[in-house]
Amino acid sequence: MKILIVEDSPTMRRIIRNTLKRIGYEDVEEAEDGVEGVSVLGNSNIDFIITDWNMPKMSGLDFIKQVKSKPEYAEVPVLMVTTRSVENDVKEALTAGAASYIVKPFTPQVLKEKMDTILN
Amino acid sequence: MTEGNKLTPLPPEVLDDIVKLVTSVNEMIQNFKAIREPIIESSNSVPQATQQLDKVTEETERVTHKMLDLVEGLMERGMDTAMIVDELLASNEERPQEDRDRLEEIKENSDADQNDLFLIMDALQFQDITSQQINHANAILDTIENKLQSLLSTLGEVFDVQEHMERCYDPNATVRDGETRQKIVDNVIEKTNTGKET
Repeated sequence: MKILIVEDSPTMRRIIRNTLKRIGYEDVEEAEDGVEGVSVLGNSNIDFIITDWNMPKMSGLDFIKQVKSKPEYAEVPVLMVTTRSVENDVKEALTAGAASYIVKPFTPQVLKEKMDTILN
Repeated sequence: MTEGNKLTPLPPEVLDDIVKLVTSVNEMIQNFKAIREPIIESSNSVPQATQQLDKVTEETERVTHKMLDLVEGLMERGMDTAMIVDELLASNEERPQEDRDRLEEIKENSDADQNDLFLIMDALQFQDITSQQINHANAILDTIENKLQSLLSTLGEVFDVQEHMERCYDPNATVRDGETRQKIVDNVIEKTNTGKET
């Protein structure tokens, strides 16, 4: 399974990549923001997306809306991983099409649990 | 005031008022001159403050990646060790029990080290979160700089307006209470999903 990480922080991209490796996912692509994320989606067969919210150029929320508006990617599950934990933010992300939502800082257990729930 | 070609003297109370007004305007001009320099100084020091804070983000990011290099290296070596121990345990059935116990112990320690290394890696998420906090502070400083420059423009000062970089941050970003906040989020997800189903 190929996973796309959309995240502006190089530190977080690296931590998420390592965490994914630990829970058994090694095929990973990276994008620095929503714009690059859309471009990667167009060039790779992505099966799962993990996205941050606060990013330059295109926010994670707008990125999800873009993904869900395109029939060819609409079925790809998107997991939001962000520091934002206000109830309205969570609702907004879910309404936009996020399959689930993780608050930073997160643990590998939480990431695995959410991914398992989405994929099963 | 004139009446034909004659100047009519102003009433003394009006003259008094005019004198007071001129004095007041002069004082105001002096005050503006007095505050102009401190405003210029403040306006110039704000970008220095934001640059310093941006440097803090750069430095913590650089050091965090150095630590990640080390953590990843230790993880790789730990996995290699665990693999070698597994091979030794599998390859020699006639190894004395004492040796087997020692190998099992090495494997257990290696697994515990791997877990601790992941805890260290998880803790390094602080770098992203604190950089968002710094970006929030910098966004406030950018706003203060804009206000000071706008004030200086009204005082007739001419200068180059610097474009500020786009800053992305969550104003409430925190490294604290991650577990509690995740539980709150999970409740919202559950309620939303139940609402969708019904």
